[in-house]
Amino acid sequence: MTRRSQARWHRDGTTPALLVLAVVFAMSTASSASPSSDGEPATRGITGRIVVESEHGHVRGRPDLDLDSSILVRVADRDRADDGRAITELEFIGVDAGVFDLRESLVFDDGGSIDRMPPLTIEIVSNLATDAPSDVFLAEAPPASIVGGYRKLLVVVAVVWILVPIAVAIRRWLRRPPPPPVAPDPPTVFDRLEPLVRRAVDRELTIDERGRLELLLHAHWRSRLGLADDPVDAVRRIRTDPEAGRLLRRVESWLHAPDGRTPSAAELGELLAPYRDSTPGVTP
Amino acid sequence: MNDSNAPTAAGTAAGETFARTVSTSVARTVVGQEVVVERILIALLTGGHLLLEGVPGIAKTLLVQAVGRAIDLEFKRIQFTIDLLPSDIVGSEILDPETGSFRIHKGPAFTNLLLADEINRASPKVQSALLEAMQERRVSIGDTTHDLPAPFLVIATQNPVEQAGTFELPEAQLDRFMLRHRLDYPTFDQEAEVVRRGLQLKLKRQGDGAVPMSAFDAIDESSPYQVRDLTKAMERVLEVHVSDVFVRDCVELVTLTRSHPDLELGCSPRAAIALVNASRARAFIHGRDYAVPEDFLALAEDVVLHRIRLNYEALAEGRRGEDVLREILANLA
Repeated sequence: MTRRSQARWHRDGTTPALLVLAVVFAMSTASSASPSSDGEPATRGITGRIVVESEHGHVRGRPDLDLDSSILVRVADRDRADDGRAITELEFIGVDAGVFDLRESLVFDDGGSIDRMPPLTIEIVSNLATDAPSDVFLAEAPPASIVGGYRKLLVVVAVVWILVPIAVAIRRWLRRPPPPPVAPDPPTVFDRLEPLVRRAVDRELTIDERGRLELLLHAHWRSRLGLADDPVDAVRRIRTDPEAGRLLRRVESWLHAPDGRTPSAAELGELLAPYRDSTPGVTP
Repeated sequence: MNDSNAPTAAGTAAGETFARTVSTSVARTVVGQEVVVERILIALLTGGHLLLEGVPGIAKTLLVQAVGRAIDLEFKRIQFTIDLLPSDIVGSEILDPETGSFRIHKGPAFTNLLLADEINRASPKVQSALLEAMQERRVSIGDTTHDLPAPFLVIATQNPVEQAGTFELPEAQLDRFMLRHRLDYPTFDQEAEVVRRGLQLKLKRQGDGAVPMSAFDAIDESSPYQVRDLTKAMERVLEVHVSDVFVRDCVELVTLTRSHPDLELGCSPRAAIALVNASRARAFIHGRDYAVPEDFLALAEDVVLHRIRLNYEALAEGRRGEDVLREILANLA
């Protein structure tokens, strides 16, 4: 019996010794054995039943039977007939196909010779092809053999697991793009304001330039007065600042008032002078 | 170049007086809320509509009624509920049993100042009926079309907290509101003043019985202005100069909302128009005959925020519309 089949047998809750039960042959004399069976052949691997009557006592399966035996027997029920004869109901499972004498798998409870009962012929037939590999007690195929063993396989998998990311990392490192050029710092308010102020003195600004100029002046004063990021609140506070408010209102008058004439170069120079002298590097 | 913040024309000085008088009249009833009064005046002066968002109990209804009283405007209020029907707003045809013919029953939409309280509680069909009336300024009852009175201003309110069982206004309909203003709780001192005024309210006698007066009973019944004064003021607003630079700033702001990476939906051209018109009215209220960047900066939140929608990534990062707008305004130049 293989270890696997043994384990399965134990899982079924029956030890081999218990499974191989005695068959009681109802016989007092050579002619008293009267096995009771329907005479139909039993299918291999499927439980068959037989009732045995004997004057010599109950029978049970041979204790030395195991899963490699051709027939396995267990006692399903025991009883006594009115005349005192022992009635034993047996269940058997045929492991191999063929015709067998069930007596070979039985012993009397009293240990007497089994030959005291007549032959108990049973036929086990198989529904499978003769060359079909099968084992009644092994439902699963044995595991495929792993070359070198499972432990070595795990080691190989672990090595591959480690090597693949290393290989990918090396590959990427070799193919890494050149470092991007260092992005220049975004232009500060001063950087953006200064050319507009200079241009405003030289020539008339476009609408877009004028709009940007005014908003940059707001940004300039926000930064200079240390006002919060909220431009809505900041613009209110700028307008109330004595210096910033006065200068911005003049710019507003120039850019937005209906009668706001374009100031002369000299006026513009004076108006924008505070911004020309601003400290570079003011945060945008 | 002028070097003053003083009113630059007699007409605009009148505008400042107009706004101050209305504010003073309203302030006799409502404590604080000067900004909301300004927004209501802007909506009145430009023919826009206003959506007020705020938790219950901060005197939205009282405020609107007080403004209406100050300019002698007819005021009506509709409490929007789920079972409201369009005919409950615009009116319906009623069979007159005596004459056997139908007669028109005009709904509350036929007024100057309509307060649509909790507009998001009504079904979309009712919301659409009102918004259609707001846009076209006329309604159809049966086979006939009726012009709504002029001026016609809808001030709708929404409770931003209680959203269960409400129908949120879609962006297309929100766009029809010129301004959406969020009301805050009053300051500590203002709230204390509200309570003190409440203590001064007496009993209102009715026959032998009496009921306690409410703040609505304390609304100043005198109207310093009439509708014709409002019309004149509206004419003055149209005279407020808007420079090309100012238009450029407004369009730039609106355009930037369409390309901002955090926004799924930017502002429509209607937003730019609203921003310029509202800025004009604000300039008038502040006694200027031209609009300056301060105007659109002050109004940007009320004009833009209800017209933009943040995308999923921005929402997942916890960004708010206010943050995005502030960023856009800071980078406008």
